[in-house]
Amino acid sequence: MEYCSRCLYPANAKPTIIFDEEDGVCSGCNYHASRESRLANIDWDERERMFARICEEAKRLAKERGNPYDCIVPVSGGKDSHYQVWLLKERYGMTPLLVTFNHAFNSPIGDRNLANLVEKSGCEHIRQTAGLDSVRRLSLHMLKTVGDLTWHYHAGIRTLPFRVAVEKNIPLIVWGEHGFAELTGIVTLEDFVEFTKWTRKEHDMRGIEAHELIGKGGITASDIAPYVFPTDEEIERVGVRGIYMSNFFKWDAKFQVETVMRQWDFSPVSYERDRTFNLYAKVEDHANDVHDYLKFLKFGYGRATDDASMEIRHGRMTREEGIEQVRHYDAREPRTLAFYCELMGISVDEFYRIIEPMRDPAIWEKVNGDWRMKDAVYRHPIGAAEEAARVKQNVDRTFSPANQALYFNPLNPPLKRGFPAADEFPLRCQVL
Amino acid sequence: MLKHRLIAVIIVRQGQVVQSVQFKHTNVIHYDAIHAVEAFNAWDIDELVLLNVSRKPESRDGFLQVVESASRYCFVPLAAGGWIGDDDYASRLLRSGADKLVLNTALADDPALVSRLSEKYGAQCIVASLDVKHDAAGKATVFVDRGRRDTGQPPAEWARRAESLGAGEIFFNSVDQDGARQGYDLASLKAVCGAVGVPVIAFGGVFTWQHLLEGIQAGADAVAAANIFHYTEHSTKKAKTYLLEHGVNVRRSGTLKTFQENAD
Repeated sequence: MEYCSRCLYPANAKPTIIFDEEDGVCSGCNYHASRESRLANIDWDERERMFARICEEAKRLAKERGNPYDCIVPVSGGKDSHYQVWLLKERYGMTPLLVTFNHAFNSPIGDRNLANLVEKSGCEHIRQTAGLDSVRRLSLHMLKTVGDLTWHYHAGIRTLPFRVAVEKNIPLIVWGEHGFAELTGIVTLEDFVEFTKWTRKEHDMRGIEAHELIGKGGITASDIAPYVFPTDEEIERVGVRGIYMSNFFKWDAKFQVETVMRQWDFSPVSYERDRTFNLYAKVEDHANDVHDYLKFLKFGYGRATDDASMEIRHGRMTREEGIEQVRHYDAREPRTLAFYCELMGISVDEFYRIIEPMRDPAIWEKVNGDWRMKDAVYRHPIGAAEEAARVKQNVDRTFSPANQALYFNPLNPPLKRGFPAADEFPLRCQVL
Repeated sequence: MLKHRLIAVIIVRQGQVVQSVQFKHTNVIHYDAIHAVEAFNAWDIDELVLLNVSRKPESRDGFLQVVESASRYCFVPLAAGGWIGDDDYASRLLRSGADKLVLNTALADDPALVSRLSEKYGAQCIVASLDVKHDAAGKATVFVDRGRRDTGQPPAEWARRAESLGAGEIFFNSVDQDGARQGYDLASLKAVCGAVGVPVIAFGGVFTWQHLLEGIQAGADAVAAANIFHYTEHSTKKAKTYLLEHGVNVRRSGTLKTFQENAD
């Protein structure tokens, strides 16, 4: 397997990745590096002004339409939603309508943080909860066919804000980061990419539109109702446009989480997580551990690879330190696996059997009945290419005492936060 | 008067759709070309061009499958090119669903193949692609072999030669402008449009809808772009609306965002 010469991504990283032919650096690293204005000629001050103009235009339109809200912010209650809403409200004087698709697999800290966001922001909020019967059917069907038990999340999160936009005649949806650009660089910063229905279908929904599921695994038309996107005509009538804030601000999750912890009391967790050293990202998503473990079972890498790669790009972690995290976390079976198997009515053995045919032969092989990885980033010595690709090291180190609350370091574990949602690892999810 | 066409180009490398910047592939936009075909097809595009830009000729068989699956979803003319080095592969591309063949390196290495294909399938099936590049002194010549080999020939000469070999259309691209977001290489484009009698498709460098208009004004019959059409919702509809509003005669389908013509 080929690995990026800078971060830890393998050549089979999802959704798509490409390595530079000359220095072996991946498109995700190049996207990240392009934020530095001298490299890609990006003028962040000008971009902020562009964002301010978009906000002014949205306010003008809201006034013209007699609309109480000038935009929609899709929120989960995570660190990004806190930061988006905080920035829009406090710095740009916007009046967003918050929209949450409740996929039902919430962690206690997620519910705490969502309630916190609604309280602190003072914004109006709509939360639509998916029916648990349909969630069970969709999850099981998707697990069996594409090895994903959270398809309904992505479908719901990328659909509900547009349904609300059409219903309430709100033309602007403000997303946070362009996640796929952030991870593996599928698009560039220079292009001002906006939300497209094809990204939703191709990347968020694995190429499967909701209506294609009717009749499969007992899925009914009412099961998929929350995932049906408005028609092109409806979108055009309202003029709905979805923008990504990461095109206008130099996105750095760590800086943002520090901001919203200080400003609005966002809370990370203090217990060690099963799949990563990061204590603040995706903590609201209880099924994320199993979801991420599936990525490992299919493609041989997991969340520690994602999170360590991001730290390496920021120069807060060396390649060597990152590799240690991958070695420690990527292959770990999450403690919540049994719970999700029970929820879907299958045994853990059955779970592993379902995944068998989805193992990527580029990384997995079966030897005497056991699946073995053919390669791993930690089996590769650090050579001249990796040395040449290193970024300048940041004085801010991931595992420094100052970052104790943000990254799990067994030598310096985080302090308890003083309430169970943040301090106790939850084995089960909560629907509401 | 013939309508001007808007063409989306899909750059395929090892089965995936990539962004091309000066013929280097910087990022992968789609893991499957189908998603791009589906979108453009629903957004009033007039034609699609699928180009296999993989560096390796072994990519040829995989590309046939891309063409075949694209043709199932594509309801407009579909041109395909990349690594067409013999009659057999040309015929396999056509049987996979391509309506036209895009030839580039063959114009330099095997001109007889170009003429033979034109005779067999008709000139309307043969699109001669030319990649223009400027040297340090600013002289423009045509490159072949994925932008790696300089023919030393000026674009206008090369286009005339392509026409005489039997090409029914010229697909103009610029190595320098590709992915540079600065618009077409208008000087070379004008020279090519002035040199041939067959339609010219302008390509390479579009970042605003105005760039498309500049292509038409430079004499191109059709205007094409790749990267930019992937970035926003209903992109090709918006591009056509812009062209309509600026007096360009383009095909209007029922779903194209209404452009209000002044009532007579």
